Amino acid sequence: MDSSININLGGAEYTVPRARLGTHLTLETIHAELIDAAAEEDSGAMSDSLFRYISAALPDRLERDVFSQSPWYEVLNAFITIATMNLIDGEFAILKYARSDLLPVPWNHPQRLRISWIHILAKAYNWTREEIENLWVEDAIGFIQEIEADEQANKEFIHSLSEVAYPYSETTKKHKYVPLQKPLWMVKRAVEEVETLLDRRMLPIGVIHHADGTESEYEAVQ
Amino acid sequence: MEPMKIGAAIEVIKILKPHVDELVKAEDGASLIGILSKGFAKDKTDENIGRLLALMEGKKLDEINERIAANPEVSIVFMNLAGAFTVNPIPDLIDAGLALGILDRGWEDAA
Repeated sequence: MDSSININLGGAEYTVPRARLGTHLTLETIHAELIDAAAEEDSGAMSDSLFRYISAALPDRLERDVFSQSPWYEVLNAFITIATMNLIDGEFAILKYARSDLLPVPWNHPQRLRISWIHILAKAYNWTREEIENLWVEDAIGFIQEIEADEQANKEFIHSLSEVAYPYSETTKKHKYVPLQKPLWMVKRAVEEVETLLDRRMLPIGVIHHADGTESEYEAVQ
Repeated sequence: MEPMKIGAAIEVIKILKPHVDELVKAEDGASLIGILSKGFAKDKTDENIGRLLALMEGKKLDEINERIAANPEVSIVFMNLAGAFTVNPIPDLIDAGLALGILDRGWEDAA
């Protein structure tokens, strides 16, 4: 997880360490702003987002003049290199099956991403903001996944004690227990590939022209 | 000629955007200029030639337009464009557009 890369900007070389949680969340927030600016083709906002993104990743802030005078390909290369280095290492179910169609909550604001992560971890472990922002991203996601799993177990227990969990059926004239639905990331499993056999009568007949230029010929099964 | 700065590059990518699907099919540098020229003529946006030169050379649009008016021969204008794109290659600009989210695709190798 601990690594660094070197980037060139305006004739100078900068060492960029991999981002801890605090910096990672800043980069994610600025990246979202860059995507919004790109959707609106707002050149000024895009340039500003790129500057803030690269500057946030550096241990010492980047001078605006250095950024402004750098060739465009150095800026792009720095952005892509930093973004690639800070990709999340590892597969987490809570991210893999996260819903992408959710709209922002009514109380959303630009810093909500950072504050919500700190809120979840601080509430569970009583850590300080500095301790939380110093975590590696992968550790933070792992902790949050466990926190959410514990919360789900608590909800299911409370749900099982409530009459809401035992709806009355007019058909059977009885109350039947209906468990609380788990979130998708807690139930989804990888689909194992199953080898199936095809009926020979379903195979194609005649000359088969394959994509690689070769040919095969199958005759109908008698 | 020096490479563009990032702000100018973003503006150039925006000018190239409507023509990317044709540009990626180009077989060489000369055909790139031809594709752009045809695209601008079709869209009636010939002023984009001057804008491209101004952005890539780092000069004011008025200065470029005066130069084009003084030397309106298509071959000279195309030579200027080709020179500018040598320092700021179109394939790299298209890939940059994809990385920034301005474009939906990157450059494809004609080979």
